[in-house]
Amino acid sequence: MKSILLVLAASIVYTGLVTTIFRVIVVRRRIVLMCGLFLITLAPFIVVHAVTPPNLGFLPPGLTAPARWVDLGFGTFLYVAAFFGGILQVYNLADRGFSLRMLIDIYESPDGVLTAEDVFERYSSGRGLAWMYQKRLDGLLDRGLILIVGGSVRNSEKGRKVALAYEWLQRFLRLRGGY
Amino acid sequence: MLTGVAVGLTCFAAFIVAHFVLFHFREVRDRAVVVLAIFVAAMGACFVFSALVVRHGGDLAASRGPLLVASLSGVLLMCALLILYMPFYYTIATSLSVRTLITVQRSPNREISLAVLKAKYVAVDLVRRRLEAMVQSDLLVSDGGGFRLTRKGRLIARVFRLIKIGWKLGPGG
Repeated sequence: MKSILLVLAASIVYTGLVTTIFRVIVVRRRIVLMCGLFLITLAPFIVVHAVTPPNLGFLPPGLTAPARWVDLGFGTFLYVAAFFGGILQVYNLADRGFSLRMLIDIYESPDGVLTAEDVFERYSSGRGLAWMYQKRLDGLLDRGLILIVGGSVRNSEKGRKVALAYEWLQRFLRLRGGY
Repeated sequence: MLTGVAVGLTCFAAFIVAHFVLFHFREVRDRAVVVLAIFVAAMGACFVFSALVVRHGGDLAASRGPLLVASLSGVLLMCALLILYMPFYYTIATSLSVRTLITVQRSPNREISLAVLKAKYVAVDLVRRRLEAMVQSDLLVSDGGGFRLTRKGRLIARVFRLIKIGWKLGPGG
């Protein structure tokens, strides 16, 4: 229970910090900043976990873990999961979510109703779907997964491995993929 | 607690194997619901096995505390693993970037014209399929004149719009 409470507190502090930074400074590489900030807050989290008593001074004996190091490892794992699976995923969805952007475009439309053609044109507050796909291509280029030479697209060696791995997974799970 | 962690890990592994095997051998329509159902069943198994292991070590009536810690830590561990796993699953299932890499890989000479690639993915059809998938997920309704938000869809749109404003993310997408 101590781990759960400390992870909750650390996540609240982290979210407060990242919100303040995003509101005060214009950040270009937000994911890098978020991961860096997470690593910075991980150290005090471990220290606080290590120096506080197993019952935090108020938990009943039944809710305390007897093995201190196991509890510390568990707490650290929970904090890692809360960050990578929670906060960072919320950021990714808010910033890059394709379906989510469509929902918001419909929500912001004057009549609250859009056809597929309207969504195609008005995607991301009027930037259009071409902008969205260019953003994906730029992301693949940035991560060194594709090469664009003379108007043709090729996978890099890294891109080839990623494509083959995901293709195998899609085939195994019988997913059509991509939509 | 170690009991809960060990049982949670085992039950999560069982969940992964179960839905991989099921999806491989059976045609499943509503995959998200099935994944959730298997996960809930695995969580139930985690609770039961934790209780059995704790009981095996002593009197259950005298060990409500350890049972609570063991089952809570097992279930929490499973939830943490699930939130780490699901983005990966959705990357396999729906990522446009992954789809692009696979399209390039499948092209003759492993090369494709940028114009052809854009014609394939900058398409109304792509938007329509996503919108229809959201109708199936009860986020939208289609009434002939277009797509409208359901109550659930409106709530999600509102919450994430607020997050975008709070974090000054811009329109994004």
